[in-house]
Amino acid sequence: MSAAQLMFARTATQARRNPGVAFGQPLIPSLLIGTIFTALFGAVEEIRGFPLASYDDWVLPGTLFLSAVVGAGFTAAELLRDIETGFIDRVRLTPADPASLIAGRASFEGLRAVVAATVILAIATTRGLTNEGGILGALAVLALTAGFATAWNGIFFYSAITTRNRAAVLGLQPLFFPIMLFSTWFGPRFLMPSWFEQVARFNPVTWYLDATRSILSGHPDWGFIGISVAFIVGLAGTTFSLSISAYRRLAAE
Amino acid sequence: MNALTAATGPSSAVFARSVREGLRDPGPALFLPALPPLLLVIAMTSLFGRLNGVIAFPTGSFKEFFVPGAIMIVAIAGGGFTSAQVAEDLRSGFIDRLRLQVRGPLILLLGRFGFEAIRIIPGVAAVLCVGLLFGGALPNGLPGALVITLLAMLLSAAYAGLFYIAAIVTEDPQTPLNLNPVGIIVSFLSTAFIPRAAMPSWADTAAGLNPVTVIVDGARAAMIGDLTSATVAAALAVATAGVAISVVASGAVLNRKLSRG
Amino acid sequence: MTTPSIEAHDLTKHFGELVAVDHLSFSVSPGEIFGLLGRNGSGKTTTVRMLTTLLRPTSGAAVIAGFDVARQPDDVRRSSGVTLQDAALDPNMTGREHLNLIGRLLQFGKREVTARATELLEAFGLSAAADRRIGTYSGGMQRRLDIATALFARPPVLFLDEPTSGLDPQSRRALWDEILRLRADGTTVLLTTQYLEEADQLADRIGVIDSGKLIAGGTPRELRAAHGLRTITVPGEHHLTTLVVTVTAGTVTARDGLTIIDVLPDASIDEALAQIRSVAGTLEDITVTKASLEDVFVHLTGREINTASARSTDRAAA
Repeated sequence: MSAAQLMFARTATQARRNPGVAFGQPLIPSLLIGTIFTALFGAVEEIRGFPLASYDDWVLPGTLFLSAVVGAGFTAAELLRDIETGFIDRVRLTPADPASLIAGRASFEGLRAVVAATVILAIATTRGLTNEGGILGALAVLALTAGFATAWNGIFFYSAITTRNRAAVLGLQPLFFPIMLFSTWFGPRFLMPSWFEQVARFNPVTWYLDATRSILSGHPDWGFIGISVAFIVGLAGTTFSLSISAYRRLAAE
Repeated sequence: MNALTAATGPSSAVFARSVREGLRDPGPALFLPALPPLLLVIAMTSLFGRLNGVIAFPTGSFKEFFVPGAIMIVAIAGGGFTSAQVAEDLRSGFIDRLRLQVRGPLILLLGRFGFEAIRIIPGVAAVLCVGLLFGGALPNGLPGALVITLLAMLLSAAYAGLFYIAAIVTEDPQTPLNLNPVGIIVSFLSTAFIPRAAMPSWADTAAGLNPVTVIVDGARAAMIGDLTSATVAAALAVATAGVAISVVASGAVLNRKLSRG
Repeated sequence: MTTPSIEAHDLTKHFGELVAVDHLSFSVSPGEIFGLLGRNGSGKTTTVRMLTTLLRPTSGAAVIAGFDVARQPDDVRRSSGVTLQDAALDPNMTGREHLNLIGRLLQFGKREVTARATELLEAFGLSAAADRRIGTYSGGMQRRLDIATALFARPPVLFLDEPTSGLDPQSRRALWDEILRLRADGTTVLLTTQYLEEADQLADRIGVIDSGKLIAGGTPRELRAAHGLRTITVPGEHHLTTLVVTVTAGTVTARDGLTIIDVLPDASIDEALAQIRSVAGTLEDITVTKASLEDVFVHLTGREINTASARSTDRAAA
């Protein structure tokens, strides 16, 4: 087993012992918010010009987005704990490569996201979700969601290694909220005033949501899918390489 | 010296301490709770104006309907901020020291309840102003603004009780964070966003059982409806009762905790 | 002359303005126990972290088991076992999971790791607790697990940073036995400590570190002889000052019905006793106390002892 696999397995074992935080946290609040919001604002689908048959279909990708970002930082918190207990020194005394170790932890976040997103998709399907993308479409959506979640967690990793401060790391969790508000989370562009639309256009959350909607509608928009993937790769690449450098610099202090 | 003056001494001390802490770190105490409802009011009024043609708002306008709701959400968002300190005090044994000087540990909480009531005022003011900028209305003028502020203060203090009880029982300083989802549900399943007539039946039932609904309805009436109506009176009554219940319940839980040592 | 197991050359570490370790140089021969003795904050832990690749030196070099710390860190890590001041353990894992994870990260095969983990758990009396969370272990158990981890790869060189701090006397003794056993097996041990008795009992050679500098080194015996005081206690308060001081170059204190004479390392005890007999008339009930390592330490570092007696201030003046 490589160091990445070993670290993944270790994180998975911890998650199994703490399933509420590990798997419940991304899932339950997202489902709650998504369900209640669509229940309350279902009337939006009756606004003239609304492109989809049901508001539920519109909000579902929003729910998936929430599952990727709510409860983020699970593995970053574990990294923080390792720094606090000194266990990280024990690991540093082995030949294990920092990049490999961080990759192992980060991939678990991807798994977490897939689990939550799968449950959300499954529930939505039983409640009549329009999925013209079929199984392949569902898999693509899961992949995008897992990618977004993993990349998003890169921010938390970097914070954990550089600040070593639990409050600072957890304080990043609500960051998704303002970003999500000014995207296509709530509704299509034709509802937006022009300033709002300008902001939404450059918002990575919009790219993710629109890409996901397009896949589920059966007409994948490769522009949005492409830019979403580019964003995910860019964010993950930046945050994780910064994290790995910071990890290596632990020896310099 | 009667019991009230005996009580206010230490309560004021705790209140003053909470204010000091809040001012030292105004972010989480004063500004952060205002942020979600502030952003919500901007985003939703910008997007959902067209709901006017689809849902029958009592006021005719979603924007006017929502702004009072957003103001009340200030009282719920960032709820129980000082409960983290209560948990910390219990854990560290600081409360035991305070207890030795004071008759009745409830007094220790009173100061905090007071702080929870006033710390939301800046947030309420901000959301009110921004809300008015984005399509809200305040036909009842200053009296309306004062009443809605009072209701928000009472709601904040009453809602804090939930957090205090949780903090006392668990001694977990993460309590405000852990109970966040409760606030979301409590705000959604009220009339903060949408009138009950527009809700699916299960949500309508839930909103009917939710005391926050009464308070929000009163806030809305105070701001854009009839300031002298029974709706406003009912809201004030429920909110005040809420504070009383919270204070008494928290005191009882704290008493039990301290006597068990 | 065999190549030393541990070599430090002018090891230096700056933390901003603070000089934590200042041009430290020493070497440890294979199979030797070297004690680095010093107070809190003297630079012991920083030194160990540099020798074990956890910290990059500001300047200087170190060679462990023939591998350069800066250029061959992986080889250094493979050849050394380390226990740090606070046992570096994850409280949520079980003891067995901990050893298994570290063993696999050390690139041993699965079967080998399982066998070795079981062996170590047995050897350190942790078999019963092996599948419980480390968070439930006592301090002593956690320390034992930490040492077991350090020994996983059967390293030729072992670094123990204050291994017995916070342990009860029984556990401390048991650990001492273990360390002596390791030396008997040929392991080189560098241990840091604040406990003078520990250094005295275990170390073949001692290095005294103060404010990041190595201020003395040698076997315990050599240190006592070179830096230690001896004390002669004479019943009765005698005015022995002039005579004895010229002989011993030490200090004389008369109080509580006793005369206490400190004899500096290079002075002659026999001459001092002769002088005393000539004044006191007899040498009965006179006690001569051999210098303790504590005396050595105080003499070297000039630290005030809490049971303040005139001698400590005189010593500072001397």
